[in-house]
Order: sequence, then structure tokens, then C-alpha cells
Amino acid sequence: MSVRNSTPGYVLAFFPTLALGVLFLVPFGIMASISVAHRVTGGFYEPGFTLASYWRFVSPFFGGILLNSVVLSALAAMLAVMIAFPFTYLLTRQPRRIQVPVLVGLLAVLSLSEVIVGFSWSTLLSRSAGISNLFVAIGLMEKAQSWTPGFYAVIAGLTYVSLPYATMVLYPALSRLDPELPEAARTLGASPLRAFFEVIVPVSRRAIVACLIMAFVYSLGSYLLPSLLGRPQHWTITVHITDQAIYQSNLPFASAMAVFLLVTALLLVGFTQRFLGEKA
Amino acid sequence: MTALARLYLFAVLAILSAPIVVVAGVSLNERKSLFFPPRGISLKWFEQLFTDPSWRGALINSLTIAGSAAVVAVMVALPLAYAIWRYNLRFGALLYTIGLSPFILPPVVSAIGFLSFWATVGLYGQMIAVILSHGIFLTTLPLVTITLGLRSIDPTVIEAAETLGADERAVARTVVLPLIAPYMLSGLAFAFVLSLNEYIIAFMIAGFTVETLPVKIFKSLRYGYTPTMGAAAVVFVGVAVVVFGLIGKFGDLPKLLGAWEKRSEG
Amino acid sequence: MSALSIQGVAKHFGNVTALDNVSLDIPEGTFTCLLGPSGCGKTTLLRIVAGLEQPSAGAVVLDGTDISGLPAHKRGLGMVFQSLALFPHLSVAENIGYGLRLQGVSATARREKAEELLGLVQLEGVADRRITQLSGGQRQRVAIARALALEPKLFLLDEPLSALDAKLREEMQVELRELQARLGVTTILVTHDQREAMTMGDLIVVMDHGEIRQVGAPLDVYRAPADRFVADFLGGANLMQGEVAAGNTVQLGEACIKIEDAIGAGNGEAVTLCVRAEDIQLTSGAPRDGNCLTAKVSFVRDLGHVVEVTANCDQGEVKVLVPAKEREGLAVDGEVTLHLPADVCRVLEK
Repeated sequence: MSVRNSTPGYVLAFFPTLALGVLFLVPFGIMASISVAHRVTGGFYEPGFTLASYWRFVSPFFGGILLNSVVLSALAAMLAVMIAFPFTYLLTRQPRRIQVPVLVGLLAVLSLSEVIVGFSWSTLLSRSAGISNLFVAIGLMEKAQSWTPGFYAVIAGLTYVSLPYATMVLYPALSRLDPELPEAARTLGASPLRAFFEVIVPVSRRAIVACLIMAFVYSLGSYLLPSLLGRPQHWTITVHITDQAIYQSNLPFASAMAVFLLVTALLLVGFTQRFLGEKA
Repeated sequence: MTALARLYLFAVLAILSAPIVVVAGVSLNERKSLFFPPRGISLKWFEQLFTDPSWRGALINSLTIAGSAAVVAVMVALPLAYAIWRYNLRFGALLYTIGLSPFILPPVVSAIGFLSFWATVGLYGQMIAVILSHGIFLTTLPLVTITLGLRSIDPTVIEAAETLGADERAVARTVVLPLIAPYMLSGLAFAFVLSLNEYIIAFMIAGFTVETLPVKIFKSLRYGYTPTMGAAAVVFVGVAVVVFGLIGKFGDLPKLLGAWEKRSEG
Repeated sequence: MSALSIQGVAKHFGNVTALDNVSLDIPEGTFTCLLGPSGCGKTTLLRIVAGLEQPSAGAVVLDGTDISGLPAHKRGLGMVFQSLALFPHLSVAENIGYGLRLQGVSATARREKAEELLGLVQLEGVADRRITQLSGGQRQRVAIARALALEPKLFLLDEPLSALDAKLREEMQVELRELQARLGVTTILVTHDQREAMTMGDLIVVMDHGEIRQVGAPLDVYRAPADRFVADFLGGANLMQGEVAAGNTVQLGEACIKIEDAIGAGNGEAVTLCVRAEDIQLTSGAPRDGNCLTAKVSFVRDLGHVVEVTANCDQGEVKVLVPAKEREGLAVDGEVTLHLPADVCRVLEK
């Protein structure tokens, strides 16, 4: 629906464009300029041009952060998509009266503050209030124990926050899937499980790849869970950005890492969009 | 639907709700300790959330910021979505992508960006800075819902209005706005709930001056656990469920989330 | 070749009754059309036969064996879906060979079979194309070939032609009918188009509100509809309210219409008289015998080979088809006499 004369359109778009420009793009510009500024120990920073902050990328310290971030996020993204794919598929096959309340619940969990998720998981995995008490009660374990902080606690937390996100990313594609496709496979002799793996999964492979990347970027962006559920060696780049900016007062280095994360995320998301945009 | 499939659905839902159940249980503890299952049942931590000055202040801050930020988000998204849809803007697709990106990029990146911006402008630590930042950060949501609403308008309805004498302004006011009102409201609600829960941006811009509820919970997490945190979490989940539940009841939630219209039965 | 027997099948979706105690016998080798308006339960019945839907009651018996408990993938039936449901991630040949692959048939044998079937549906040379590279009509043929690849005992089609344009659709109807006759496979087709059902079916099953209203050969159903609904749905019928009178006649207002067939209903009972538009004769002169109604022409519609005259009489609107050569003298507001020959009048009790 469009009309030929677009002048009023530009007038109309002016205010939101200005707002986005000033409040969204300009901050990134400032951030980029800070990333090349001189650090003033104990203070903020001094304008200037130095690549000192970026040079720190070639240190083993940063290499460790990067490796850890990628491993944690990739693992969490894979787990989340593996759980979310069958879940979302089954959900889209449900009648509306079941789908809507489940979607409400998913949105509620998705919007849940990471602070609250971190708090609940640290409680859930703790010795005094955690599920290990449940296992003790039913006789699976002898003594309650604490599972946090640790690598698996971080994985559990990241998978948990990525799960509803992955579901939301998969939902449009899967709900548009022709319900007659698996039925056709079944009339041709495929069991429901076989139809799922041989028809539904391959037909959705683009959506799955896209969802993996999106979930990866999403868990890469988690800022609290690694620090709440893990030890310092489990901190991801996002946690370090926060740490450098707030607690170490090294805004230039935080900005440099933020620029790096921004570029990485843009590349990945851009790739996904292009990948999704292609005709089948 | 086989029993196995139902079991799987149920198991995932159980995992998703487990932490919330734990938090709710913790919030009921009689004494100031985090036991689950709770030892002794008491609602005093909920009471404290609304009476203790520091928790109450955080709650009011959060509600003020979320309410204002949601309005800002819709004010930015509405004209943008409308202009892109109605007029053939040369940079329409680009503008839309820019509008989408705050929400897709890692929030910490936006947080650092906002931090450096407000520090430069001199509004660092002010509530208005948090409101505007949230408004921009969350503009993606009303942008998506309103665009969806605009695209679902039958073009002939617009043409009909035009043949009946409606000019551009009248078309927008009498046809388009009423039709997209539910989508605007959904966008507003989404932005509200997410702003309420947002932590990292609020923390970086004004974490030490304007305490929001998530920031307050985070600080309690570091400097002294209290069941009030659980109570706050329960209230947040409650607000989210009520808001999304209302959208689900009165709106078309599956369509908002990208499902196609159901095919009519043959 | 197999015979199918549907025995007392019912299906409820919550409070909604989609099928209500439906029984039907389909002899082997026949082409059966399930015909009815949308929501009549015809698709549900087909899906129950396919095993994609479980009946709430009743049984589906194939060649004397109750298959009601078998899941869809163990029934060995071929089905063409309304959306065609071709697998977009597989090529044409892979689509056709899908069922064979599940049975462990070798790749070369699958390929051979796919080529053979493509020949059968007159679509050679596209075996390696992707589904997205095919036109609507070509996809249609691939879907048919895929459903036939396992040499099914039953061939089921759910409104398979509804997405095609009118011309292609008529061609496909004839082609499909010829293909079925050649293979001799017992076939059930679901459609809401009475022309399609008339063209293709050996047997037409008219359904409404989850019930079967009439089963019969196309012309039998057309000429002797069992009730108002069937007469109306097959089209072209004039339905007039009257009551049974002495001497095997029906009283229509002042006119008394003789009926050749014996009337089942007793004297004085309200009945519906059904006369096809093409069976009514138009005369402009005075009535020759009984069985006549006077009417006033309200509209004349030239259809080329015939003329459709709409006329109003005491019993309401009547449509009459007359040969084009009798067009002359017909004018709006002109008085005409409608002659209803005794041998073409049917009395419907409902």
C-alpha cells in the first residue's frame, strides 16, 4: 500500500529517524571514538587516538575470554535449539486454546529479567533450596549439594534463557509448515517419528540454522548468568565488558570489546537475514 | 497427538516454570532465609516490597520508567512504521532494519553506547536518560507489531475510503488508526513489560542513582539475600502473565508472533 | 484392487459432530466421489479411511480386514492432498520414490519406477527438477505419481484439483478418470464440485452435516434425487411445494400434476415436486392437457447453446432451459405455459 508522492512520508519519518539517529547511531559513534581514546587510570578517559585497547585483543587474556564465550554460547544455543525445535513443532500442531496460554507463558519467561533468572537458577542449583534436595527426598542422592557456581550451571542458565527465544524464532516458520506434509509421508509408509526426522527437520533446515545463529548471539549477549552461575574463568565477553566499564573503570577497553561484539553480532545476524531471505 | 508428544511438551513447560516455582516458594519463607520448600508460610516479604521505602522506591522507579519508555517507543515506532508502509520511502527498508537492530544486538553493546552518549551529553545518572534509552532500545517491538497490523489491512479498504472522499489525513485517522490500535496496544504492552525487566542498560546509565527493581534485586544478590527478591520476581512474572494474557485473550497472539491465519476447514 | 467397507463410522470434535454413523460400501475398482458442501464431513471421512484421523466409533474394513486400528503409515494407501504436500527438499524423482525408499527398494529400482510413473502421468523429463521449478499442473501430476508409487490398495484424493484453473482442471478430470480406469485401482475422491463428481465418479456419495444423503451412479442421483438437499446441491432442479392428491397426482396450488411413478406418501401429505430445468417444456399457447402451470417470464438469459428462462408462477420462481432455436417469441413479462411431463416429475418427501 503506497502512494506516489512520498514527501509527507519523509516528513513523517523525520522525527523517528532523528530519534533513532541521535539516540541509537550516535551513541555507537561515541562508543567507537571512546574505544580509541586514552585511558586515564582511576578516571574516565581522555579523547585521542590510540589502538591500545584493540591491541589487548591479541593477548592470551582476551583469547581465553573469546574461546570461553564461543564455547558456552554455542553449546547453550545447540541445546536450546535441540529442545526448542520439537517443542515448537508440537506446539504449532496444538489447537489455539492450548497454544495461546503456552505462548503467554513463553513470553513471560522470555521477558523475565536476567537478574531474576540468575537468582532463580542460583537458588535452584543451591544446596539449601535446590533440586538436589528433591533428589535426596526421592532417594536418588544421599546428601544435598551445590551445583553452582560451575560450568554446567552456566550452561543450564544460558540454555534456559535461550529456550523461549529459540521457540519464538522457530514459531513463525513451523506454524506455516503445511500440516499435510508429514501426513503425506505417513500415507507413504513413514512412522510419525520418521516423518519428523525425514520431512519436518529437512524442510525446516534453514529455520534451524538461522535459529542456531540467533540463539548463539542471544546467549552471547547474556550479561549476568555467567557471572552469577559461573566462576571468573566462565565469564563471557559480555560480562567482561560490564566489568571493565563499571568496576574497572576502563571505558576505552570496554568500548573496544563492545565494538568487537557489535561487529560480530552484525555479521552473524546479517548473514542469517540474507540466508533466510534467499528463495528456497 | 500421541501421549509421547504431550509428555514432551509438558516436560519442557515444567523445566521452563521450575525456576519460577522455586522463586515463588522462596518468597514465602517465614524467616529471612532462602529455603525451598519454604519453612513456614508468610506473605510479609510481599508486604515489604510495597512498604519498605527502598523496595517501594525501586518499584515506583521501575513503573515510571517502563510506562514512559513504552510511550516513547510507540511514538518513535508509529510514524516510522506508517511512513514506511504508506509511502515508498527510498530508505524504508534501511530505516526498518535500523529500527529492528536495538533489540537484536547484544544489549550490553547498546548499554555501553548509551552510557558513553549520556556521559557526553551530561545526563548520566538521570531518569530521563533511562526512559529515552529504554524507549529507543524497545522501539523494535511496537515497530514490528504496528508494521504487522498495517500489512494486514486490506488495501481495498483504503481505496474504498478514498473513493468516499477521505483525504490522506482522514484515511489515517478514520481507517488506519482504528484498525491498527490493537497492534499499537500490543507493542506498548510488550515494551512496558520488557522495560520493567531490563537490567543492563538501566544499571549502566543510572545504576547508582535511579534504582530500578531489577537493579535492586541484583544488588541484594550481591550484598545480602532476602526473600523480598523472590516476592519481586513473583510480582514481575505476574505482571508479564497478566499483560501477555490480556493480549492473548483479546488479540491474536499466534498471528502477532508470526503464525499465518488458520486455513478454513474444507 | 480392493473393496472398502465403512461401517457405522462417527467422528466428534469436542461438541461438534463431523460424521454421524456413516456406513458405505465401495466395490473394488470403482471411482467414488464424496460430494458435499464444505463442512459436510467428506474430508474427515477420507482422512479416517487414510488413518490420519481416528473415528470416534465404527470401523473401516478393507478386503474383509478391519484396518481401523492401523496407523496411516501401515495402511498402504496412496493419497493426494489438497495442498499436494510435495516435499520441497526433495527432487521430483525423490518425492515419487520416497515410499519405496522407506521399504528399502534400491536406488536404481526407485529411479526406474519414478520414470515409469512420470510416463504414466505424462510428465517425462522432469525427474531431477526441484518441486519449486514445476508449474501447478506439473506438481499435480507428481503428487498423483507419488501416491501411486506403492501400488496402493486404495487411491485417495482430497480436492486435488481445486488449485487449478478451470480449463486445466477439466483436462485433469478426464485424464485422472482414464488413468484410474487403466489401473483399475479403487479410488475415492473428495470434491464440492458436482460437475467434477459427475465427470469422474462411477459412484457419487452426497453428504451433508456428517451424514450420507444419497449414494448412486451419477445419472441416477441426478435424475432421481433422494431429497431436497441432493436435488438442490446437484443443481438445475426446480423444487415446488405441494400436497398429494387422488389419482397419483400432486396438487400445486390450482394445478394438478400427474406423476408417472407411484407416490409413496398418502393423500394430503405435504411433498416437494422436483423437476429439472431442461425437462420442462415451454408452450405459449393454451394448455394441452393437465400437468401445466401458467407463469410470467421475468428474465431471459442466453447461454449460447441453450436459453435459460426464469418465470414466476404461483409456486414461486421456476427455471426452464430451452433449445436456442426456440428463443424467438420469449420476452420479459410475456405469459408462458410450463408443461411438466408426468415421467420427469419426482416427488420428494422431504
